[in-house]
Amino acid sequence: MSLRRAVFAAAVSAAAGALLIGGGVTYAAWSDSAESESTTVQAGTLTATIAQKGPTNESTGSNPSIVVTSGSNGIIPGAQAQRWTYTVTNSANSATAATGTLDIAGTPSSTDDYAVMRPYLRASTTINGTKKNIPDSAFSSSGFSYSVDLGKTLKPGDSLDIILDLSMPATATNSAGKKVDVAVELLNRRSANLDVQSIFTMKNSAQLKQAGKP
Amino acid sequence: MTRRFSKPATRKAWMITAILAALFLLVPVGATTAYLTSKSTASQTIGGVGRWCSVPNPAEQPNVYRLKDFPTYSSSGSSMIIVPAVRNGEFGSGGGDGRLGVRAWACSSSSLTTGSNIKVTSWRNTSASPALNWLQPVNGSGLPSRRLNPSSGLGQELTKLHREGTSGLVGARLGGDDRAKYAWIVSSGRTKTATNASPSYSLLVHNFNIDPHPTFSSGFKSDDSGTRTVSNSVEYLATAFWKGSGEWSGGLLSPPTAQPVNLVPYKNDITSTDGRQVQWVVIEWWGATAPSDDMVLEVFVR
Repeated sequence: MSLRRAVFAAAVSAAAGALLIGGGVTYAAWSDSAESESTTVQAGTLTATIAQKGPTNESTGSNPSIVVTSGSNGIIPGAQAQRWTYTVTNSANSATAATGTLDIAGTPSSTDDYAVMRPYLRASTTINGTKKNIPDSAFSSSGFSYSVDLGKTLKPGDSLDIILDLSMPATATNSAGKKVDVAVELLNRRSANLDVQSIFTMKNSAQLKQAGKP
Repeated sequence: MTRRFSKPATRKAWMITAILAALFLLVPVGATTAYLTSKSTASQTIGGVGRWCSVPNPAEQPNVYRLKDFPTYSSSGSSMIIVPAVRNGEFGSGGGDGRLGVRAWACSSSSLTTGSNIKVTSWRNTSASPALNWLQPVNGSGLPSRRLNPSSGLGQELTKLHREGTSGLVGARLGGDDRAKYAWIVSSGRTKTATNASPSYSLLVHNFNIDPHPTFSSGFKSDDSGTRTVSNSVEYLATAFWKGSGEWSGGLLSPPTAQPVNLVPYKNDITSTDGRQVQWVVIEWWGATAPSDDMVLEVFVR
């Protein structure tokens, strides 16, 4: 091989190597995401979608000491929960199966109300009929944050429903070890009317990741 | 080395190779193992509370008494309980002056009519060996859960005083030694708009009245519509004409003065007669309108 050919071959080999490595995979690693209602963000050939229903009002029991105002929306300690249902889908157009999470991101809308209610807020998820409590630590001073493992590999075209419930118990034990009548304790934090009195705003996401080795 | 790069062309080839190798290394190695990811975000929603009204739950707090659960006493359709109140933490976390009191709670206005009545009085036991006949405790086993039988022993005596006053006097009036047994809470003219009222004392006959008592309408407050905050309880504090360990505060020519009923820490003497360790609280309702579930009375020692 002549010298000129040797140099040319080396250059082509190195460039080809670099291009091979910097293909679609590197594009995936640097991809970003955007937010909007039911936004679909594509990264390579994996596409996640999330559909949200709710919040709806779900009865959590009755208590003669708690009088629920008929038609009231929102959490009522010991009586009513708020429920969201998320459907996470791995698009049929995706080239790969995926695992993932539902990422909960709540920001306090009233710092004062949230601080008072935080010790009593409870959350749970239900996936395929299995209910799991979200740790109380998910409600921190900065908001409500938690990642729920979908617990299942979604093939292209597969969907999964995740139910998220937010509630407060009728009674709870406070940090001093004293039993607290939550509905009485929070009575002056209730809504003035049938609309929800906002504690925090939530903007939740579905995050899918290619299953198995790339 | 000198020999290897002796020819300019060879040196040039190695330099180009080195530059391309450096470019190759600049490509992130980690990316070679990157996963495909995708994220989708739902629209913003609100998590928050609704509207309700509530009262303390007797099942959780034994010092709270639901009127609807009272046993009926006597043929007059009166419903009554008698509970011992002490300063031992069971009637509140304490930390205050030990004043005995009652909060009347309600939510719904539907039962707050003038057709039914509420009356709460408190008494000092004066017998050195009272007959304490107990009913089955309710919601626990502590003192707030205890119920004195209103039909026998000390319970019968207190029931009579509470309803009829001193024997031989017209109306529910108290005279003689009975005057220094009584503390008014929701009685002797008190209502939700007159929580500090005291009975008028007659220097002529040296007695005073346990009545009038409020109706459900004038004794309770219901929920306020259209507001976040609510004041659905009325606080009544125990007041008496006796002081110290049961001494009468008046004289032959001077009327007695109203005194707060402050308890001292309980020393496990349920038969105490000084009125500072134990107060016997008599709670009674009667009338045509049955109380709703949310009508409760909380006996507290602050």
